[in-house]
Amino acid sequence: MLRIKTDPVTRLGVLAALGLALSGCEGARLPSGAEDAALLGSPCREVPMREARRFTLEDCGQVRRLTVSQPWRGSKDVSRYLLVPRTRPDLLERARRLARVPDVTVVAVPTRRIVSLSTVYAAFLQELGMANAIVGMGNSASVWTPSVAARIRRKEVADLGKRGMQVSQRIESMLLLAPDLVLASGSGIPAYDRNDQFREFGLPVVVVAEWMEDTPLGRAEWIRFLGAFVGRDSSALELYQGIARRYDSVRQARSAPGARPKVVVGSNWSGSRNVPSGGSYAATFLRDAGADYSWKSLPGAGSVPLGVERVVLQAHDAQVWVHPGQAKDLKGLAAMDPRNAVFCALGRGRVYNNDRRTNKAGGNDYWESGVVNPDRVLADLASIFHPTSTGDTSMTYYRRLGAKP
Amino acid sequence: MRIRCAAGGALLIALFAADICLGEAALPLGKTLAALFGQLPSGDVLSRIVWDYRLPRALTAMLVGASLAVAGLQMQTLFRNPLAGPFELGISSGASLGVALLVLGGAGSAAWSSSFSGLGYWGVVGAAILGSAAVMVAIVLLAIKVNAGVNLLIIGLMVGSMTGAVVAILQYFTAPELLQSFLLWTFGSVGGLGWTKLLVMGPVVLAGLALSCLWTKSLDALLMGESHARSLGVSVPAARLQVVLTTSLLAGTVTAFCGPVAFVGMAVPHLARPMVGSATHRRLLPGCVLCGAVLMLACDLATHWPGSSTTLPLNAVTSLFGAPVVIWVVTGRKNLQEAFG
Repeated sequence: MLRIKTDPVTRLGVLAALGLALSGCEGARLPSGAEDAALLGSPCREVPMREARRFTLEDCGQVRRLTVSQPWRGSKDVSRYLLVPRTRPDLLERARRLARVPDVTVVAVPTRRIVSLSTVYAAFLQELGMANAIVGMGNSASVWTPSVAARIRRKEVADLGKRGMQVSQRIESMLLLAPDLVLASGSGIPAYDRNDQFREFGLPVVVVAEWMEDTPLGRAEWIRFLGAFVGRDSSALELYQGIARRYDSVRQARSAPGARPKVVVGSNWSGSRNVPSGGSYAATFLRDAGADYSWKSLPGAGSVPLGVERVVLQAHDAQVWVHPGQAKDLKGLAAMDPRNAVFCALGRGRVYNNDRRTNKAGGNDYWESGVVNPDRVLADLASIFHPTSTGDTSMTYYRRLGAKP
Repeated sequence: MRIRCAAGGALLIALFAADICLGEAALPLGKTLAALFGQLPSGDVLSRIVWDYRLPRALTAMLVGASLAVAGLQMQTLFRNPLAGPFELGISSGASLGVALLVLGGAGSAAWSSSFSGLGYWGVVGAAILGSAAVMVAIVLLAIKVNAGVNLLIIGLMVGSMTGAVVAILQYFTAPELLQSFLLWTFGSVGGLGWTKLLVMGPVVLAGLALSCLWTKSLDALLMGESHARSLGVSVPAARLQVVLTTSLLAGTVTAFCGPVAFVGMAVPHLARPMVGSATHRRLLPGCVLCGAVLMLACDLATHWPGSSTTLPLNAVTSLFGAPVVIWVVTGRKNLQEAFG
């Protein structure tokens, strides 16, 4: 192995030069403790969040601090972002000069050139009225959000990979876009996640972890996280309060004692079925919509693979079946596995999928505006479990599977 | 030998019964038996579990074990190599390519979702059959042209590498959620078949096994070497073609329905040889059918151990439980290569 012998002084010099080179970048980093004294000055005040548990927002005078804990399952990472006003070059200069440690990223706000590597951020930005700030889009083939999809078609938004691992490979194209914010998700899997590498190139990467929240309102509250970067804090708060108010009113209406129809979810694949645990995002929706979820007592917040026998034993008599996978109609669902006939819900035709708004590439608005507007998802589910005269034409994301395609 | 075969037969019956009585949902034994013998109403959920899930599953496990073991034996004889298995011809890679093209390749088009919902499981089966058949036709054509078995082995491995590369490219361009469906298929499973599918897979596989039994003389001749075979009046190219055809049929069909089930094909012949105590294929082949069926039933039982809320991937279990058995058998024997002349 080739090794270059250097004395400690030379090594320090090289490190200092590297630090200086990095300091010219917008996504520069800061030592974890040092920013308090050097920059923040006044004591920080935490902005209260209602349900989001994975991030905190603090007001520290001129500068704001966002902290994200556990950006993916099993991660022990804590990422901190210092949001420094663009109008204060002196503060930005000081922050950049101090850049050293990888867990703090300095971002000049409000951001105006955004690269979004996941489709859900497009929906959040659309809701905030900032979709036009998107200059590059990863997973571009799956975007549903109409304004962004149209701009991708017109090539006004750079295509940074249609789907899959290629999304994390377009570093050169991303650098050419000169974004002032890169919104990415973290997975801890190097093939999908090159966030550290992006940072090394000086890209201001922010790892968004809304999907780690276990409640729909917790996920939706990340609109406030994004609102802080684009300088739309108050409208983000206003939007969120409206969403939460509407969500709560449906939940309260459905919490009254009464019949809660039993519900089965998912579909079999290779002899097993992945079902959401009792503490998961999906299970919370079902409970809040007034359903009796078959696996509500499964511990945890992720999903669990169950053997099909247990699924049949526990849920064959469920009145409603949601999220039956790729099947487009009842006939397709029966053709996938004739043994599905054991589920009463199939016989009664009470099978619903969340694919009303999907595009040809498989992009689904349920995972875009549905994440930002859980109140609409809940209203859909409530009308499925407690049908009214309006029928399913009023549903936004769900549809009842028909007998024919 | 008779005693060992009788013991094997008894073990097969015991494991078959256990596979039906012990599912991952702990049903009372009395109720399971009542369901099995039709003493529960036909719509009863226990009856549906036993008849629609457990019985097809146990039968599938036996068919898969028997087919892969016979395919493995044939490949070891053809290549005169104890390390050969049914997938060295690239058949499993061909099937994987077919499924990957359907599940991953078509993901960007509307055709994918409609074909997937319309054809469902049959789409996957059809894609796997087309993929393995394409590789099979190529190998058969090459088998006619190529003289030595080892050349065919190299060609099989190369075809496997090429199809593997295409699958890797498809994976690279795929969203993680879709990749999961494909990965689950590669884990292998005998639990995905109901009666409809079993009634398609069963006859094809049984026909393949019957053909293999008919052509045991060719296998014996191939094992003794090509010059010896010629002296016995066996046409070596024809024998090679017969082996390639039946192996492709057996391994291709099983892979199409159950995913690429690893290890069994390579390992079972090594268990069958000491049990049968003979190198003639007239005896070795039924021995492989028995050992393969027993091993797969045992592995299937291990994937859904009663009381555990979840199931294990079949491929992990076949290797995890099968490998120590093979090591144990092989350490007690002399040089295995001797069996290959």
